[in-house]
Amino acid sequence: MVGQLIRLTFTIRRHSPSLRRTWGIVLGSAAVAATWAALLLARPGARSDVLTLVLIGWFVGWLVGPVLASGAAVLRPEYFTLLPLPRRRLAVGLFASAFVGVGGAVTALATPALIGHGVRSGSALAALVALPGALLFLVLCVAVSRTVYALLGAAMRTHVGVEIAAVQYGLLIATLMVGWLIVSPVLNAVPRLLDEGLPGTAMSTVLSWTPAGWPVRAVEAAGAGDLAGAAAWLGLLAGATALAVGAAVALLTPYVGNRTRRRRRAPLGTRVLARPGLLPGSELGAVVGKELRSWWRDPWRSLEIRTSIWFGLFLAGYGFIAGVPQIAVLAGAGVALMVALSGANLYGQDGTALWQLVVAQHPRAIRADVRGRQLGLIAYFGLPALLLSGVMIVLTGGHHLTLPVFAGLVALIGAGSGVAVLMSVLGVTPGVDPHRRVNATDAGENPFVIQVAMWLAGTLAAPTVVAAVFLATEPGWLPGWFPAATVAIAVLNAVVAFWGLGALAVRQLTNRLPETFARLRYPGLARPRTGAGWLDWFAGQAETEAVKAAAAKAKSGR
Amino acid sequence: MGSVAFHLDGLTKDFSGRLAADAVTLRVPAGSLTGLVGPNGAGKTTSLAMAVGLLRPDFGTAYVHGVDVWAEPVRAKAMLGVLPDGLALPERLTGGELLHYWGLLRGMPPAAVRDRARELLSVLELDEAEERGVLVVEYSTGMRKKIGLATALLHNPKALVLDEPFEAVDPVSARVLRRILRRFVAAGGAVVISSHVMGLVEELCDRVAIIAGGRVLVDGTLDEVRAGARLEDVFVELVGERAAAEGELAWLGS
Repeated sequence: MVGQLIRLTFTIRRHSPSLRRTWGIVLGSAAVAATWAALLLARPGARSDVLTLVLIGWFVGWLVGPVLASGAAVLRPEYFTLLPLPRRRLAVGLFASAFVGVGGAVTALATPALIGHGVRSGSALAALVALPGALLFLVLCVAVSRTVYALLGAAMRTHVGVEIAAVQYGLLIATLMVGWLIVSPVLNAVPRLLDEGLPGTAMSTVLSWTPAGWPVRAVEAAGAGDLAGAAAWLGLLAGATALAVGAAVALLTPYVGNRTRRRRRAPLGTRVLARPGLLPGSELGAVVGKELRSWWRDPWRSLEIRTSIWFGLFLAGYGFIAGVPQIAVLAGAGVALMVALSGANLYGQDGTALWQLVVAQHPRAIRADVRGRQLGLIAYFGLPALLLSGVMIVLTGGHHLTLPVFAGLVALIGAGSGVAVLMSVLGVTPGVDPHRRVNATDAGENPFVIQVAMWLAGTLAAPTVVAAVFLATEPGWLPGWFPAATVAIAVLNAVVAFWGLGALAVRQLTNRLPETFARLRYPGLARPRTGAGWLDWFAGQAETEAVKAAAAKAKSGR
Repeated sequence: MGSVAFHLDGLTKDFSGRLAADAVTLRVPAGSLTGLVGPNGAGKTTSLAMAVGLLRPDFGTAYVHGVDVWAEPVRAKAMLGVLPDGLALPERLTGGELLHYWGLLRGMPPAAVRDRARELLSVLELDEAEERGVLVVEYSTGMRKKIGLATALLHNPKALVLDEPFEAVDPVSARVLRRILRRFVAAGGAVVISSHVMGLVEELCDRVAIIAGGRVLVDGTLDEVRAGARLEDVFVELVGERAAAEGELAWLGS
């Protein structure tokens, strides 16, 4: 059966988009080359530190890999629920199939660096010990990765799980955006690292206690003739691997329970929002109420909010590492920037529920739907953004930055809310329908639209950002009215973007309501009625990308 | 035939070279309940989606009391109540919250929404779930149908278009549903339902249309279409049945 599952994985992989695979192969090969280069270039005294660091890199890569590469779980346990197979055997088979692919291949080429380490130490015994060490470490990586991924899938059933997923996404986005901040300190450290190893023994000791350090230590011990020590480190590695494999296999057995836990109490927000007089009894009040409840209760939506908050926190963290703690006050700006990104597929996120607006078509209803969604975004992202920056300002003592930072936040949130709804209409991308969602990535996303949303939001907030930067750097020649002007610019900036882009979204939705719905209901089938306008042109581009993304997802089994 | 309440006029849809609906034409008089029957993939859902404004037809249109759904959508849609099959709802609301949202979005006064929502939840036996605060995403398939039906009825439309309204609905609720539909029709409303279940259509509908391969093969009153035979026999005769070969699936149950 294992053979069949692996063959099935190969078959599915063959149909997955080749560009992503190509990138995987390129990056993976580069990582293998870097691993061996590090081993060969490091001075003997530094070698074990360097190798430990490199192996940690591989380990972390496997940890965050599932988030990065959609298609990590080619074979979902649920596919096989009805087969008359022992659940445990099926899980073992699925686990074995996780080794198939670029990740498994390149890691299998990299971990033998341990053997190289053993050989270079000049001891046959060390080389011999490295062999099981390399193998065990590979299995450990895959097992931990599968466990984390399965937890992510299970995640969306619990609050803790949503939080774990949010931390991963937040770290990922922060790294992609400001990871370069720490590149230079790290790069400067490489030559010294290769020469001298890690500075101070404390850090080296700590790292050698991580799973990546165990096989290295085993090889070292064997090289020094300490057989008992080598056996102990190998034993520790084997034990951890066994535990991780056990966890992965347990989590890979098909889940047949409820997607949502049984309700024991009324959902949050039931009473507060139902209080009479809180929301107007109008179309707008209806949409705002629905949006506020949905952001509060939907795990996929709270994942967006939590991710943006973690992104802001990691942004601050990177600032500290890079030695520019002032960046921390921009943590809120991270959240504010995420308004445009997180809200870029609001209609797609609701699945096919847009049919309701189509059958209730009325100018007031459409306007309310767009404006209500904007207000929902502002409430749920704006508040954390302002709070986070406020706290960071207090913590870092950057009180003089209060005005420029808050001006930037207001502009970004306003622009974000406009960009989000416009992109949601133009770039509507179907995901898995809400009541059938399982995984964190099931809500549907369109990378093209997200890119555009990010740049558009940044550009639209630029007038305020420029003024805020001037104010923050406090050149002495600024006139006395400049702070007040910055506030005015920020408010105007936010209102114009909120109102203008929202109006565009309303116009497009009014003109293309059935077409927008068709893109969710019949993706790729019902050709959009394209007019001459640039809105239609952009919608066509986004549709093409959405269909591509959907096809890639369907083929890779996600 | 009384005045035509709902008129599908030559609805045609080509899905990338496959004709899902080929000039589908159907007249539904006021005060009647029309059953739209057909095999899987016959074009029932596609035709109804075009008729209620959810899918733009390549040709043809639909009229509600003479108002063109595609030329004057706002006026036409105000008179329509729609229950689509298998589409999402605002999932993280309770049934009551959903109806409240929906009524206000339809422009109804809040007091009327509140009263009607309460009554609909109780008639459709969703009130107990509402008290526990159960969200729509946690509803069973049958409950989803019922809350969908409640949204279709809430604004008191003149014509109802229901795609598979009885699917997965338990027998008790189905009786309630039939009673509601009969009352609606008696008051002059027009109903179109699609269904696979011939017995249900025979019992409930006074008119029937058989659709296959995207075409309406026959339509008329139940008695005209049946012509003395059972509806199922007429259906099978029109749609065609694959002849069972001797020894087919002989291993099954052996």
